Parts: sequence; C-alpha cells; structure tokens
Amino acid sequence: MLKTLLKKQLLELNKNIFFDSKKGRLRTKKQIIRLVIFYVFLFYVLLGGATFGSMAFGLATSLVRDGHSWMYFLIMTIITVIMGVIGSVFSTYSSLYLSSDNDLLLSLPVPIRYILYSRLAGVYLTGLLFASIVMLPTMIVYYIMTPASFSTVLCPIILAIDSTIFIFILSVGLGWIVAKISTKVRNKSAVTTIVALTLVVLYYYFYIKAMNNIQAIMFTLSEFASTKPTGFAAILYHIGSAGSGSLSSALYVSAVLIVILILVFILLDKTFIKIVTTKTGAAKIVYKEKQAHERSAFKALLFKETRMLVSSSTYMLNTALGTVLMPAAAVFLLIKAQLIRDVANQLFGEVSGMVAVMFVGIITMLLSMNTISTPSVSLEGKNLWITKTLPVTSLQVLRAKMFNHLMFTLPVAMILAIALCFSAALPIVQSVLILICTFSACLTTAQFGLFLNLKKPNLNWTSEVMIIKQSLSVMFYMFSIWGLSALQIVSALFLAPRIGGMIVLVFWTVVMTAFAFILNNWMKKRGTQIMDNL
Amino acid sequence: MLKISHLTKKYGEKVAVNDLSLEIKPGEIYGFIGHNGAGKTTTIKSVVGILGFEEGTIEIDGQSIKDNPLECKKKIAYIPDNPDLFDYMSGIKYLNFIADVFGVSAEDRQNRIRQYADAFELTSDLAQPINSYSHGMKQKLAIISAWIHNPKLIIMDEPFVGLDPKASHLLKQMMRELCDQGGAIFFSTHVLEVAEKLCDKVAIIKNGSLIKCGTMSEVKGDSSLENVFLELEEGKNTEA
Repeated sequence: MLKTLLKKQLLELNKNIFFDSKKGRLRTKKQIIRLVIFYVFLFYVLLGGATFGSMAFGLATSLVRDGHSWMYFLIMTIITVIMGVIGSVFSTYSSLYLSSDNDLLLSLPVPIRYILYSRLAGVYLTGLLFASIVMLPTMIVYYIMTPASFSTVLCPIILAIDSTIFIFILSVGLGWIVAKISTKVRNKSAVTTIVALTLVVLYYYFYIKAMNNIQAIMFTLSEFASTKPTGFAAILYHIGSAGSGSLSSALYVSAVLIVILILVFILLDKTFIKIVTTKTGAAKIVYKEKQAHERSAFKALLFKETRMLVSSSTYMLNTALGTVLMPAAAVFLLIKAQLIRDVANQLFGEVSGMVAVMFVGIITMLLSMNTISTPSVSLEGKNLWITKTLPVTSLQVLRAKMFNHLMFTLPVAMILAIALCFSAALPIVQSVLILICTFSACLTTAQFGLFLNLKKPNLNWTSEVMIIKQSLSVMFYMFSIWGLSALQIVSALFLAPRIGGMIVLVFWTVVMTAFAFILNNWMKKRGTQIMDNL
Repeated sequence: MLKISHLTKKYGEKVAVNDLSLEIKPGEIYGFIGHNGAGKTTTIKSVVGILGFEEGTIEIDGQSIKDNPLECKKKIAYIPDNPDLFDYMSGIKYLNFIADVFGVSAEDRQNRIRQYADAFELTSDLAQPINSYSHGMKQKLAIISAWIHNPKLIIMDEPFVGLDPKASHLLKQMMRELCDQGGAIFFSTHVLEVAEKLCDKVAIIKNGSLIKCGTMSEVKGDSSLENVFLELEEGKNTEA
C-alpha cells in the first residue's frame, strides 16, 4: 500500500517526465530515458558541474591541497543547505498538509501513517534534488584531489546524506510550526508568511553567525585544528570533518541528526491527522453592500493575478522572496556604502566598468528569487475555463500575469540597482546602463517564466506546491537565471579586464534588451496560440 | 441565436462528436441529453470556445466562434458541470471580476447582484471566500455570475446538480424569464423529467452523433421523454 502511495507521489512529482501533456498520453520507455538523460545533463553537468563544480574546484585547490579539507566540506555543506532550503522549506507546509486529495485518501482504507510517509518522501526528494546539485560536484572534486582510502571515500557520502537529512528536518520542522499556527488562526496566508519569514530571518541569523565564525577561523586556519575548538566553532568543525575522513565526526553528526529525525517523525506521526482534519471555525464575515467600482477588463485580470498571489502563502513565499530580499539588500548597501566603495575599489577598481558588470550579475541572481510568472499558467488548473470563456484575449491574460510579476519585481529591483550604483559611487553612464539592464532583465525574467510554463504546462495537480516549487518550468527558470548570472559575473572577472568593463556592460544591456524583445514577440504570436489551445 | 453545423471534434483518433448540427432560436430553452460520454460536454465546450474543433461551424448570433471569439463570448455565459471558481476570491469579488470583464456598469451589477443573490439566499455569504462554499453555493454563485451581464445565450452543463429544490425551481424560472425576454438557453441534463417540463426543444446525442432532435412534442409524441430516450438507446444498441 505504501508502495502504491509512493508511486503516486513520484508520478505527481515527475509528471512531465512520464506524461506527454501535448499528446495527452504516457511517454514510451525510450522517451523517458532520453528525458532523464537530458535533465541529468542539464542539472548535474551544465548547472552543478559548471557553477558549483568550478566553485568546488576553486576552493579545493587551496583548502584540500593545504590539508584543510574540513573547511572545504563545511563551506560546500553550507551552500548545499542553502540550496536545499531554497528548494523545499517553503513548500513543505502545503505539500504535507494541504493536498487536495486529502479527503479522498483519508476516506480510503489506507493507514494514515502511509499517507504521511509518502508525502514526506516527496519533501525529501525535492531537497535531495537541490542538494545533490551542489554535493555531487563537491564529492567528485574531493575524490579527484584526495588519495582514496576507506574513510575518505565513505565520509563524503555520509556527509552528503546528513546534509539531505538536515534539509529535510528544517523543511518539515518549519512546515509543522506553520501548520500548527495555521490551525489556530483565521488569516492563514498572512500568518504563514510572517511565521515563515521570521524563521527565515532566524535561519539567516545562524547562517551569518556561521559565516562570521568561518571568516574568523580562516585567519587562523593552520592552527585551528590543533587547538580544541569549542562551542559553535566545534559544531562547524565536526560538520566539516564529517566529510573529510573523520569517521568519529561523521558518526557524531549522523547520530545527532538521526536522533532529531526520529523525534521529528514521532511528532509528525502524532499530529498529522489532527492538523489535516482541523478546520478552523473562523467567524463568518457578513456581506454589507458597498458602492461597486468599475474596472477595465485588463485591470480585473491583473487584480485576479494579484489576489491569487497574496492569498496563498505557498505562492508568495516560494515565488516572491526577492520582493523582500532586494529592498533588504538595498538598505544594507546604503548603510554599508563606504565599505562597498572600498571593497569594490580594492578588488575591481583598476578596470572601469568591472564593478558595474558584477552588479548586473548580482541583480540577475536576485531576480531568480522571483518566479511569480513561472507557475502562473499552470496555477489556473481547473479554473482555466473561466478565462477561456470570458471576452478577453489570451494575450491580455498573459500580459496580466507578466504585469503581476513586474509589480512585485521591477520597483524593488530598480531600488536595489540604484542602491548599488549609489553605494559604489558609480559614474552616471554606468549607472544608467545598469538601470536599463535591470529594467530589461525584469521584463525578460517575467516573460521567460511565462515562456517556460507555456512550454510545460500542468493543469492537473493535487497540490499547488507541485506547480509552484517542484515543477520543471520553475526549476529550469531558476537554474537558467543562475546560469545567466554566473555568465555575467564570469564576464566581469575575465572579459572586462581584457576588452574593458564598459564594453561588457553595454553588451549585457543590449543582450538583456534583445531577450526582452524576442520573448515579447514570442508571447504575442506563439505564446497566445499555446494559451488558446490549452 | 446558436447554429451548430456539421460539428466534428476528435481527440486524437477518437471521434467525440460526429457531424452534429442543430439550431437554437431566440426564446427557446433547448435541452441536450445523452448517456455518459456521449459527447454533450465536448459539444458544449466547443460552443463556448474552450475546445477547438476539426470540422463544421458554430455561430452565435450570426458570428463564428472561430473567427470572432470575443464578440461571441460577449453574448454568452457558460456554467460548467463542476463549478470550479476562483477559490482565493470572495463571492462578491468574483462577481465584480466577471462584471468588470464584461463591462457591466456599477449600477447594473449592483442591482443584479442584489436581485439574484437575495433570490438564491446567498447575500450574507458573499463576503466569504469561495473556498468555504459548499458545492451548491458555488453553483449558485456560478449562476449569478452567468446572469450578471445579461447574456443573450446561456449554455449550461448539468446546471441542476448540487442545487437544493428551491434553488432548482428558481433557476427554472430564471431560464424561462430570460427566454421570454428574447434570450436562449442550451443546457445538458440527465434529469429527463426536468427536460420534459422545461424545454421547448430537445436533442438526443449518442456516441457523438445526434440521433433525434426537435420540439418536445415531436421528439416524445404521446410517450414520455424517458421512454423515448431509453427506446432510442436500446434501439441503437440492438442495431449495433
């Protein structure tokens, strides 16, 4: 029975691999194998290998060769956890407790525990996918650089598994807290968002604390291992050592995680059914007639999109995190303006325009946090009949989705761009180019998300989290924008010193503007056709 | 008002609707009956522009749904077999959304919302989110939203499912009133007694093909609609 539920869960997670939505039928074995190879190549070779692999290689060259493998594993584990957190933390609440097939499954003669376990498997696999993109290249680079022995082969595997367990614990833990609070409050969406964001702030507090510790350790790295680390530093040391061949540290970290995991399992097991079946008896809002206001059809469509976004904490937290992070980054930059100016001048000051290109890369990276438009077509789901029978064009519907994305992205991205230019005291021409580039990047990302979703729509889902977080279009969007951002940063580091930062900056401005125009044309012609035929 | 000529709709190799033709004139309530999977919903979805079709034409008030979809959609309202509405909106927000898209003036929409929501006893629930509504309440809201822009033609797929007896009675009245004012109704149903009492004309579809249509007296003669329907189903099965 559990096997059947797991199979169902896996099928839902990987529907695009097994099912051809265009032709409306299951793919053949050959097609599935081809697709799997393509995605493995895309995620693990192109993204994992090119970005995290080169990052791991750069770190390993100095750290592993100098005998500080534990620091190498610590840094890469932190990056792995960040990836896993981005991947699964915000989506756990809805994927565990809010599936639309709850009623159906609960009415079947299936042990409740099995329903929970099958959903937990989905949460674990999502975290695993994101984590493995970092952990696999980390392990491969280490194996290449270190002579093989029992412990140096086994320990990185143990740490990789430990990382996924840690991500899993964080995800289900946050999901459980949010669920418990949600059963007691009326405005679930707002409370869920606030609680999740508070926990994220806490998470980042510990992350910054860890990074500060790592920075401090870095200065005394050669003596650090010989002095017995204590407190928070000791935890960091054990985590790093767990991957670098210390079996005792590996056992220690694993044991702690397994104990926490068992406690989490007991907690979830005991509370799952109650949370799923609790309906908060919110007081009824009695309708009082008010003066109605007319809006244009487009404004009505835009209102619908905004309403859909703000009424779902899963949608908001997973697709609009950049809306919070970008202004926060802008404030930080303005406070630390002098420091930014000094660092920028010290590191990249010799090449004019180099800093500006780096900034373009950073802005693009942060834009990947906003994926509002990417699941928006699939999210129509069973409601698609409404817009299809209304006297509006598909282009109007798609434009409303794009504008909704822009409303939550463009202003904050421009604020961040202005803060970056101001904090680094960039010349006016470079600042203007950055602003144009940011504007075009926002248009591009908004349309690119729609493009991907129209190419891979999924209108039959049981939990919105499958569309918002676990769909191929969302993953492809994030990885593509990360890839673009990496390219921009690489071009700043390697191309700008050779051909000049200004030329590279102009190049990216032209490229981003061209992308925006190309996608706009595609949307008007092919995009609307696809939407018509959905 | 609605003219379907030689409509053929295929799903891959499977023919869902085969060379179907029928015409609905202003003032008519037209019932559409057939067994499960006969092609009723496919026909209806083709008429309202949800599904494309391979052959034939569909005209609403003289305009082709393929060539002028927007003009056609302005004149119609559609209620599906399952009222999947925007769960994240409240009832009143949903009604205002529909009214905005159809360009209904503030005064008209307010009057109609008041009139129909009161009649369906839904007024006090309009501020509630739709996800808290029962199936019947969603169906009532879908009906109000269909009537809100005063359409010329209303197309409904199993509209009585989930409605309580009072709401069913009210819907029948509203259907008749709309037709008396020159509108038209095309709806599918499995409740043959309702079709028999309510419809001016009826069409029976089987395996994608129209097997009988006409005025109610032409179709049923001295028998009941149920008997005629069962005989036709039986007859075709025997032939097969």
